[in-house]
Amino acid sequence: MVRKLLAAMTLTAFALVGAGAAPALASVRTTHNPTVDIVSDRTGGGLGPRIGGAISQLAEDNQAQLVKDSIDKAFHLAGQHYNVIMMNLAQHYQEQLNNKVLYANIRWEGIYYGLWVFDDGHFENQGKGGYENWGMVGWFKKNNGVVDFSKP
Amino acid sequence: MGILSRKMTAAAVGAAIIGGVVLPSADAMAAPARPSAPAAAANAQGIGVDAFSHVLDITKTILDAIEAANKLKENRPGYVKSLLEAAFNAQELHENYNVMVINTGNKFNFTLNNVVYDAVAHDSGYPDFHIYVFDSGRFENQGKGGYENWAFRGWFDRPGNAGVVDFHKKG
Repeated sequence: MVRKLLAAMTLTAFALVGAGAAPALASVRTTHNPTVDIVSDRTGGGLGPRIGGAISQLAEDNQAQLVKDSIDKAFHLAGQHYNVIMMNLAQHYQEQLNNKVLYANIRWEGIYYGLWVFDDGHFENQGKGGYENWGMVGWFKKNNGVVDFSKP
Repeated sequence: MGILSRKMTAAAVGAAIIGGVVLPSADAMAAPARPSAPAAAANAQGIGVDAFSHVLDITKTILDAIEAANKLKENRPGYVKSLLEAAFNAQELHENYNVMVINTGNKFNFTLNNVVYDAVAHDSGYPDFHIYVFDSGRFENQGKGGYENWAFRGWFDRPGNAGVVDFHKKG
């Protein structure tokens, strides 16, 4: 999103330099909803579709907010009984999670994320960090890109 | 020389405007039809377009096309791994099978045992990818590597981090 913001600034500069340019170009920030595919759901009680539905209704204008809101939705809808992690699948990662009760593919603006809801385990982000690339909520110890989750 | 072949110039323009200030090029100032319109457009990704003639200015459209192509390229490993994770985590499979996803344009050989799923995924933005879900076997990628071309998950040995992968049954 940083890139988009900078691109918007560029357009602003155009609007200022070029008298004929439409000034409204730079200020419009559009939101987009993610597409959510629940790949596996062992939560029971229709929780998977509820989580998928809630995330697909998120209208976001940047990656970081999408990640924050998605993990928050999943965590709270799952009754705060499970850990949740979301990862930009274009990055390198290693997933060794136990008792995964839900996995979903989330696509937003051409970016592919994985969302895991689970009991405990180990996860390594071997790529870029930041909320635009990953986020987690639950009970864990984090050391840079390495996260060890424990049961609540 | 087509617009898209002027990449070097375009990149130089991109570097020049990172601070958010864009100065129209000499070409733009000389253009009779729309003297105040920008001749160069770029964004912070270092991509850009130099328009040498723009009676009708489609620079924004061209810039959007370059940006879309870059974004597709950047997210291709994510697309490949979304296929991989979908197959590996699929409800019906209970994470009991090895999964291989590979660009159908690659040369590859395999001997796989008990293939429970075999499909090709199509997406207009990407090449076709073949998905194999199986118990065990040997797979050899003779083409390009990297997550943009193949990804696999399961239980395996991969000597020397090379193109040959020996998969064994979960157990």
